[in-house]
Amino acid sequence: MWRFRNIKTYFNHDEVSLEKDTIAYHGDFLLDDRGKYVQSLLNKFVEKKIYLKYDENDFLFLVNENNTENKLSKFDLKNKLLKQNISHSVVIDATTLSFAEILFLLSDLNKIKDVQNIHILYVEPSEYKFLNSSITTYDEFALSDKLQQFPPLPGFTINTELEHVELVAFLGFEKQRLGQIFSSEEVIYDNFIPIIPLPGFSPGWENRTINNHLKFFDPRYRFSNVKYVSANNPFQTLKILEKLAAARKCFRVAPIGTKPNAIGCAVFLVNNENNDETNFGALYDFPVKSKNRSSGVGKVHIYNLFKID
Amino acid sequence: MLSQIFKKNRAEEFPDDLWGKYVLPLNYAQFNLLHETKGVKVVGGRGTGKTMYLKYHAYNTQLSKQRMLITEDNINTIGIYWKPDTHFVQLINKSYLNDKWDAVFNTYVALSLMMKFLEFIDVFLDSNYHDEDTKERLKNFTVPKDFSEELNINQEVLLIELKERIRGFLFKLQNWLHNPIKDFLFYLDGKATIEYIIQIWKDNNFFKKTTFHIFIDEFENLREEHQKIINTWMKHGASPLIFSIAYKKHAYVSDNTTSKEHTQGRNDHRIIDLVDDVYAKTDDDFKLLSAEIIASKIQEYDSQYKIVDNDKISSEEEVKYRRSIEYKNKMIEFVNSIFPSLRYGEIAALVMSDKTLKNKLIKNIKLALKTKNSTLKDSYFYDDDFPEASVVNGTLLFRTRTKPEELKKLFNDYKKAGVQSPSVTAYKEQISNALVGSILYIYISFPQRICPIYAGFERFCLMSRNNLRHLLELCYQSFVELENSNNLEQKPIKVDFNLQAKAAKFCSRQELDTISELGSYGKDLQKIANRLGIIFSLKQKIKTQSKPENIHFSVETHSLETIDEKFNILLHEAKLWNVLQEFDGTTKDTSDSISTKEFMLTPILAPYYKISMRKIHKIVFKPDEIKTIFLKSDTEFDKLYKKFVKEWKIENAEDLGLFGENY
Repeated sequence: MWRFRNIKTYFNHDEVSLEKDTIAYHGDFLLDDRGKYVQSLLNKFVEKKIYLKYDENDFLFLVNENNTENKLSKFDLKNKLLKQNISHSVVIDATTLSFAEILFLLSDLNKIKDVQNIHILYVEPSEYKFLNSSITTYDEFALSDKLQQFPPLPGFTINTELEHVELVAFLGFEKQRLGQIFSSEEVIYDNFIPIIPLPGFSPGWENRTINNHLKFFDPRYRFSNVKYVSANNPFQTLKILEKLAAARKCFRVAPIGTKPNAIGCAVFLVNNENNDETNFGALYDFPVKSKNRSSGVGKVHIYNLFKID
Repeated sequence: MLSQIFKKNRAEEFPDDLWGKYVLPLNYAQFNLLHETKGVKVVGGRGTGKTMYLKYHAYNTQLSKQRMLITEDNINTIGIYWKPDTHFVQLINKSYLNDKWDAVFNTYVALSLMMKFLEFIDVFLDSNYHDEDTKERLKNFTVPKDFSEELNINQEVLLIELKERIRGFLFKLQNWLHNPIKDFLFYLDGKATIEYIIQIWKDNNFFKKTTFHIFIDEFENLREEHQKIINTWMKHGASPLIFSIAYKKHAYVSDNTTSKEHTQGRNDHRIIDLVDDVYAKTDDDFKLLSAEIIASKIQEYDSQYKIVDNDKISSEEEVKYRRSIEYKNKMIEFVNSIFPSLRYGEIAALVMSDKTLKNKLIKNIKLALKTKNSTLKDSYFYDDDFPEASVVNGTLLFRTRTKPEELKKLFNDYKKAGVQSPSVTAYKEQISNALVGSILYIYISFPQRICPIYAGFERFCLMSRNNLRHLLELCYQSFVELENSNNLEQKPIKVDFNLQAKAAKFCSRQELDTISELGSYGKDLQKIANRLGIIFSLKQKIKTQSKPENIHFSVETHSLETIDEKFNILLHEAKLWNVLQEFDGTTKDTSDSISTKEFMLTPILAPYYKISMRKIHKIVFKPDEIKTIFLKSDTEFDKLYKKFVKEWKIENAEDLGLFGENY
């Protein structure tokens, strides 16, 4: 079970440092400015970099180490990759990895005894891409080119035919991601709990989230109450989920907002993975991220997690 | 609150028992799923009532507590509605489970369907079925050992206790799927297991004459390999077990079965198109159905209204009664009284009596006369007593062929009741053709005004065009407006046309907003809808209003497929999500002789773009133009837009912002 030890936040990029002898798991550096910054940071400090990309259709990982590409079944991630690299201290770069990779890494690392401690790196952007052609009145953001219809995540997929399910959604800017959950007309959730990132990465950003999702805060969507969580605080995210879980046994978590919130969701789901008493699942839409979706490099966060039994 | 009753417009929000709530379509006799002896395919777009239709045929409604007497005849066929959790079921596939996937899928379906069959038993026992003895025997019936052993149950278990066990297995299956390295507890065959249960029942003198008909909803969201398995069951379905499926119209679904050599012919199964066959075979069918739905809901709010008999609307025996002209008229009249409309002529009169609108008309007439270097007085062309002709004169005068002198004379002849001449007849026809366009032409200059053509029950039907969800949303928003205007206490209930138009505009904007959430390409669809809306709206600004009322288009090509791959993907998605409706080319616009398909923008968007919701004249786009609309950047689209401005000689186009709330 993962617990947060501390969170370090750097305003000055020169002050950021990572432990020596570290192995880092990361995604595509070239998507935006901060990806490039992460690349330079890892090049400076890290012993070994491993590129990971989860393929949600074939349930496998693309792995690239020293320009050698490899495909690994979801079941082999632990034994054939993670276990081979336990002598290192582990960094997961959440800036470039998506929720799915973070979730599976945390889940499999949780099962490896020798790993007791990990760092998760996250770099905020200074601005997200603003789509000028706003059709409806509020701001639209062009962060994703295409959304998938919520492919299932092995280990974190629950069957809603079995019991009443609630929906807990961590919201971001793109209302389509939530809208899709409701318009796909499959499940009517018993209760919808939206969670707004507040404070946001920058003052006022929470208003973008609220404005874009206002129409869903309606009994029609079984909405009852808004909750708030700091945009860049996965610890708070975990706490809020634990609090929700104390009162309900079955819900789906949709981490469709900020990455730090998604990290908190991943920790929560992994910590409850083999709990027979509860039934928590994840809903994730694997957005195809737009190139240059954000600009600039903002604050840098390093979240330190350790394991307890 | 009245509005709250209309707020629920998704089937999932209704209880499973729809008796007294579901209005049977009038031609229902041909579409009673319970009379089918083979599986059928039910197709219907988003919001067309597919789920409600299926649920009407399922046991919760069949055995409704509101039905006081249920005999053996009523259970000749029992419908079982099943909507798989399509998110969950995606996990069952070859990439994830290797060769086991097939057995796992079968087991999943067997367990899920067993749950449904056992729920049926609960509902049956609770129902008003006449034979108490059967119920009593069923309550005490022990599951035969052979069967319980299949399920790893080693002790005696009553049939009515089995459901909880099965639920437990489904849980186990879900959790096993988290880490499916070893084998699952047991594997079952989907179809054979259900057949086995049915056989056990029949052997023990239960449901001897009953056929069980399973309706699988959301078929399109199953994986292709799942679809093939179900297709196979469907193909071999016969009494006492039949499988049917339902999916979104235009969805890509597999027709194949698991046996490679036998591809299932498209004609093997009857296809029921909910809109084209059942709900809206004609516009009148849809209108009556809508009227009854609205009336029954209003009655739910205020039982003093005695318009529909809720016991009759769901009953097949009563369809005959509902088919009478008197009944139809009574319904339509009632709903028209709730949502009154202004005839187009009355709207023209409204223009003449409204200072601002009338001034706009006069301004237009003056401008047209000036363009034609005519010295005639503008007042020759309008007359408060002849509003329709006056409003249309405001656009006719701009037409190249119109000579002001001749029009003046025509207008005078027209005003004199007795004069009959071929030219007056032609003029009258021109008036009727251009009236709506001419009215909209005046209103489009005033962003704050909402044209009353969007008000009225029958116009609601036009705007929702066979989409029940849109219809109910229009009613809902109208009642919200009524409640906000504090006029709720007024009896009989009546929503002023201005409030209705306001509600229509709201729904229109809301639907545009929702399009971005539909499917993987929602944002693209929204962009396309908006661009088309902008172009139709621009066309509405043509001074002459020749070929007016545009909300549909065709493309000047023999084959749309050749245009572009992405274009075709988006076109398909647009049809799938009902953003565009496809028609065979029928409009007799001579400029286009080669295209075979026409596409109408969903008419619920008409109020937002201040255009007509009637499919009258189409715009014929060149392949390059449609490519720009569907695929190109805003800058490219802006160029196209400017090209149309020039081509159509629109002078006040700059009033339109390309984006944002200017419509």
